[in-house]
Amino acid sequence: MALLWTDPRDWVTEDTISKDRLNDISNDLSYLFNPSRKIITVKGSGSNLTLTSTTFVDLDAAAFALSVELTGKRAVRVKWHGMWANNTLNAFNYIDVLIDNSIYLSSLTNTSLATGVHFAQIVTANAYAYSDFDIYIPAGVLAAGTHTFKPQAKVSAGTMTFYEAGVLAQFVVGE
Amino acid sequence: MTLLWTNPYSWETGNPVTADQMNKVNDNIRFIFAPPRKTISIRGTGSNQSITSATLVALDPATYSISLELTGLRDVKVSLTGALSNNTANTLHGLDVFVDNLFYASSLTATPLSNGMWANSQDIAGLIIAVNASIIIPKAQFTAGTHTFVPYIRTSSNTLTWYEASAIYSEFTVQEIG
Repeated sequence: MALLWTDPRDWVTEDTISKDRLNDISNDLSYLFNPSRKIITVKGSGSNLTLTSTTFVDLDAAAFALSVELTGKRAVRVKWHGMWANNTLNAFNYIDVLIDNSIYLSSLTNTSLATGVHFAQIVTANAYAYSDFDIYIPAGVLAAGTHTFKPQAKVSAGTMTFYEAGVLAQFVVGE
Repeated sequence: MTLLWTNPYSWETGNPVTADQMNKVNDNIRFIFAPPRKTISIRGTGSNQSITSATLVALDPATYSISLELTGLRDVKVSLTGALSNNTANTLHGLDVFVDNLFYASSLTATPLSNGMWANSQDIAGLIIAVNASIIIPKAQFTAGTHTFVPYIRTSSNTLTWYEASAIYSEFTVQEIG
């Protein structure tokens, strides 16, 4: 897909108003109206996942990995909404997003922050809690083109359960 | 209100540049500047709500119901912020949004997911839990026109309190997103 955004023209006196120049305005309006975005929603129809890794590993890449074409000129919003638990009191659950198999959302480097982009300590074993974050990657970090995004998770101890049965999970990336 | 968005014109060589066409460009710019959005905010001055239903029921619809005109061409974000608690430990809270009395945000059908779009355990009796739940409903769910949105709530047992008093802020927002 060719992205429709064209940097707006700096008009000068006696510029020709051509169809191409007017269509650039139309195309830019269309892009702003519906910019690049991908939404993955699991509406309770998946299978619950368990995870015991203490290093970041893919969190159901088959369901949540997505590719989205970006202009490279705007901040990129990464939004996550899902429910998790851990069977071990005082353990931590962590989540991050691996971009293009090369950089993490938390650090924007190839090494994630130790606590990822979002984490929670388990105050009651096996208690359900929602894991939500909604953050932006600054403009200029990701070049124009198609990029891949995969949520990854880890635990400090115990077994995390990530729920895809009976609950809603949603992963969104877009400009 | 009539929505200002119209699909941008596809210009051809020789087309006259009319005032009507240029004003449509202006209208579209205005639409993108201020797209459809409604926010209901309670700044600690409401009445706390008690819920005992194990199935989803409307959460203070007199306060939180939103009607919003949509283009039907863009995704819609629903967000609910606030606080709740249950007087009994080991209970489970659930929240959802019912749209047009037709479908739930969680399932996009008339039957919600069993835990709605957001759920949380009550680990300690009476402990106040912050709610910050938002999801995006795909544009395919909507036609152009006015749509209604009502937050729904449930508790697995006993009594859940949704706070609108006690100096606690709550908010329900529906918006088209670009």
